[in-house]
Amino acid sequence: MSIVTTETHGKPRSIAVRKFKSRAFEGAMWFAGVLALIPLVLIVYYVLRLGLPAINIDFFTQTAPPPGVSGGGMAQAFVGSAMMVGMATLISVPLGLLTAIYLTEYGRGRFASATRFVAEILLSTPSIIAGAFIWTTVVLLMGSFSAIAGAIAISVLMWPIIARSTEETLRLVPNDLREAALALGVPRWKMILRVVLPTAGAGIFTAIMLAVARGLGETAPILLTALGNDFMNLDPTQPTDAVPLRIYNYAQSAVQTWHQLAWGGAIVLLVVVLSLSVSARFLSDRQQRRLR
Amino acid sequence: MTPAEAPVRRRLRFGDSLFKGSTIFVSFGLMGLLGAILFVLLYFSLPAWQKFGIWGFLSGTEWNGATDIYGGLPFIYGTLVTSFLAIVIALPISVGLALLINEVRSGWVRNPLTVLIDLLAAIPSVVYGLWGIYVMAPFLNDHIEPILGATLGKIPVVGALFQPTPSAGNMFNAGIILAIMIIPIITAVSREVIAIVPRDLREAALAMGATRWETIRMSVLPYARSGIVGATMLGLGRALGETVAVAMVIGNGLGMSASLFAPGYTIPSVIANEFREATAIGLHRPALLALALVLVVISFVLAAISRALVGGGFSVGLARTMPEEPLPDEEKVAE
Amino acid sequence: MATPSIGFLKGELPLDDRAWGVKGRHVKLSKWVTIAAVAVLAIGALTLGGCTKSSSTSSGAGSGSFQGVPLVGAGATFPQPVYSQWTQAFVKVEPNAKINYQAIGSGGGIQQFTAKTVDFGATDVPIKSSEASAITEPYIEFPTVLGAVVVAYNVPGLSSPLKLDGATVAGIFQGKIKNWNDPAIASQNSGVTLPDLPVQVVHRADSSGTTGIFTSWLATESPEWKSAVGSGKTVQWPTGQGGNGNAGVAQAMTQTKGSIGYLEYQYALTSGLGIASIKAPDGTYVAPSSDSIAKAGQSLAFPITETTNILNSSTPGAYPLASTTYILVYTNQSSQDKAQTLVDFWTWALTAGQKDVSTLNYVPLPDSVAKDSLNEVGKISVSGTAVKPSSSVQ
Repeated sequence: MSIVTTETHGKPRSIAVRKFKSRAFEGAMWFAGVLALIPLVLIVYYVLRLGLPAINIDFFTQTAPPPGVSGGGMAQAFVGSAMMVGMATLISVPLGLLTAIYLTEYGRGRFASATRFVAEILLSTPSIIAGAFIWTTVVLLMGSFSAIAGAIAISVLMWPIIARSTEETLRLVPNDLREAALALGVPRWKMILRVVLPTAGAGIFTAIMLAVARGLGETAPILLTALGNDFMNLDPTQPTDAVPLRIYNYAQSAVQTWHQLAWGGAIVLLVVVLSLSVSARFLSDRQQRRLR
Repeated sequence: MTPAEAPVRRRLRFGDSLFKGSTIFVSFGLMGLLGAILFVLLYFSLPAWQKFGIWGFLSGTEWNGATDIYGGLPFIYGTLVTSFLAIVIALPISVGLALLINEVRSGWVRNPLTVLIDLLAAIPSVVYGLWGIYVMAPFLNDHIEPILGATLGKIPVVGALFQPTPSAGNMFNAGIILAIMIIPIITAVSREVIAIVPRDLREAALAMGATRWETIRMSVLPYARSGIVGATMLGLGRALGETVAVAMVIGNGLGMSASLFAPGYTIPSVIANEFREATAIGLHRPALLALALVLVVISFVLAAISRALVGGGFSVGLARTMPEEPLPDEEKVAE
Repeated sequence: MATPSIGFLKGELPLDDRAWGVKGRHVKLSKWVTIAAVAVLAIGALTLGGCTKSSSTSSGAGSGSFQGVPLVGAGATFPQPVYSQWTQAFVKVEPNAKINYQAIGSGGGIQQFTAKTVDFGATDVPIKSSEASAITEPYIEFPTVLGAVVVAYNVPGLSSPLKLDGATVAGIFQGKIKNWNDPAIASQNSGVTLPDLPVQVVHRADSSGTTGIFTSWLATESPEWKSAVGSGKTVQWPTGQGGNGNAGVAQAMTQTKGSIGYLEYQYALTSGLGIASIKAPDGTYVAPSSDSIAKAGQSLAFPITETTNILNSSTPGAYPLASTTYILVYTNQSSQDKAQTLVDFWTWALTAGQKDVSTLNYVPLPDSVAKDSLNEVGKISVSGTAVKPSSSVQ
């Protein structure tokens, strides 16, 4: 058998060595893959194992128990999270959509690239900064911690996500559609609202889902703006609880009953956030396949 | 154009400019938001900069409410150490994973892998923290760190990094948690960058008899290198800013220890822990906001560098950006 | 040309769907997007419209009596178990008085009170003159309950609780005593086998009245501590890891073998940590208990000043690290309902509420102090008229 060699740096190498190196590398790739997924498995496993005992009807209907008292639940946190993220969505979706529309449909030149750059910076800004900023402005101005301050802090994080995500989806809409509409005399704004947006519909929905998933899981911004509440609160101008905030507080205690509730809250968070992400991916893949 | 059409045209123009104007207004708003954040941070942190000076604050080691002297070095140190550790661990894993996803032919492996990485990215920070405190940290503290301390800790210079202390919260644990959290983003961006490598390069190498490893080494990695560096910058940016998970496992210790197994403190953690009590009289709040400003500036710079390296097209959502086509110009298409 | 209008909600396809270049199914997705948007809008509208600020909407016990309104308080973690007990019990007295107390530390309590973002603040150490200068309006400061700071430890396998004096504790927290079998500790604990275990100090990461009490005591016990570290709600800790709140310290300690830290008594008890007996000024070692705390509390008296404390009480058998905790309220309130709820709650807490604090291992105020505190509460007024407690709390 003839030995096929390569000359690298003037040193002939046998094919066996090269093949071995390649195999070793492939093994390393697979190892990396497994290594990356081990934490995911461990997290899901432990959250389920430690949190399932906490899940019962009381968990969803009762409010915070005093330390050491068993039972009770996180009802006020679920309602608070829904309220704040709901308000944040109402604020950030129109803003994000309009920004994205500007970037794809109207944007030319330096202002557009500047806007895009700013969106990327805001995307990677640490969430605690949003919290500190909103405390210094909204909370001090209002004179109290509140759900609306928390919602505004969350929308600071959601706006760039929706803007950039939607921008990418809108870019995928074929230009023929736009040209056809314009050629038929449709005004540009109508063309965007009635042609581009509906076509990109699922993609926009996906962007919103991703932003909502992000907003639901954020602790740092609401730590400084919504303060938290042991009681149920529906008044947006009052301090409100939220699931991640409650988990954060309970985790940093030595109260076993609170730990149990924290794991239960973690399950709910994981289920909601993960299912939003999975459905977003599923919808997005379907959308892209259709548009291509 | 007949006179009868003129009013219609004017109406259309008005709707158009209104809509266009509102999109421009909102975009201005976005830039205004960033500007407002920077302004608020700068304005309210000014007393600290004035009192300590830029270099004085960045190199000061005392953080003392009683004497009203604040220096940011311990937090900058903790932030850099944990983030660096996270990158060192996450980078090889992420690049390996990204290569794996690109190399594997079977969709049965590739698609679930992609979904699972997305899931890892979606897990909220506080859940990482909770799991970190009660599952990961005890395991690392009881089983891994003693081993590292007994082996690596004995090596002359490097060993100083691995001196075991009984501390439940330490920088090593924070670094590990950060590594897990940034793997998805480095993988996602690296994956895209690697996917863009032209097939001809790969095929040319294969045609010359290169093994898989050699193909990747010769044609893929050099091409994708700047993109991978950009991806790392993005991951680094995420690691630097991560607040909650780190605050829960790092131990919140004020000193700057050489050992990774000692408690540490990062900029986001100290802001989260101390902001609600920081008074406006005295320099506590200005000092915290000064740290926040440092953090924002660093993430700004990292975002800019990674954008230059990766190109503005990396995806935030799940849509894969296509090369930019010029969009139809209104003037050419309308009457 | 025909543009699709509301018809698409009904699932009608546009006139010529091939002109759009996509299959008709995109219309269905738009329908879902619209429905989802409407749902979100509806939820948002319901939420925004749900401002429940009224004080008389809820039907509680006695239709004519004052129902209370929600209040927000923030501050010390030291009394949190008791305040939690009180707020949960008070809702049964005034059903709409949902008093939300968030324990963010004494420093946080003072800061948020100064910034007027909360209805009352809570702190374990009295306001300092520098902090008072930032408060622009008159306020009252009154103690509510007695408790203690204990030196807790997580050292398994000890045959009896440890005895420690101030100098030793200072040495440990300075990082000078690094191991549990150090002679300084052993000399006070003959008969107890101390393990060869490194000491891990746990302190507070947030601005804390508990820290203020503890470090004040250390400063009197050890001149070295006084000059090297000093006292206050925050200090430059020479060593150790930090926990958030008393709860966070308890959590860090239960997870760190060989740890030592300072905690409010109840937290140490419920976490199962070891509690040290501390050397009193008369040379005896006193363990914290309701009795020893009550003895120390006898020296508490108005007026409350910057330096008010009940540390190192001379009463024999008094626990050296006992303390009270204070509430801050602005005297001139603008909202009648809030003022009434404040007066009612704190009157209730200082009278009926004192009865059950012992179940949580806190100690009621001495009668004279409780009376003085009630007098302070009597100063709360709206537009110059003092607010009297409702009949339900008399």
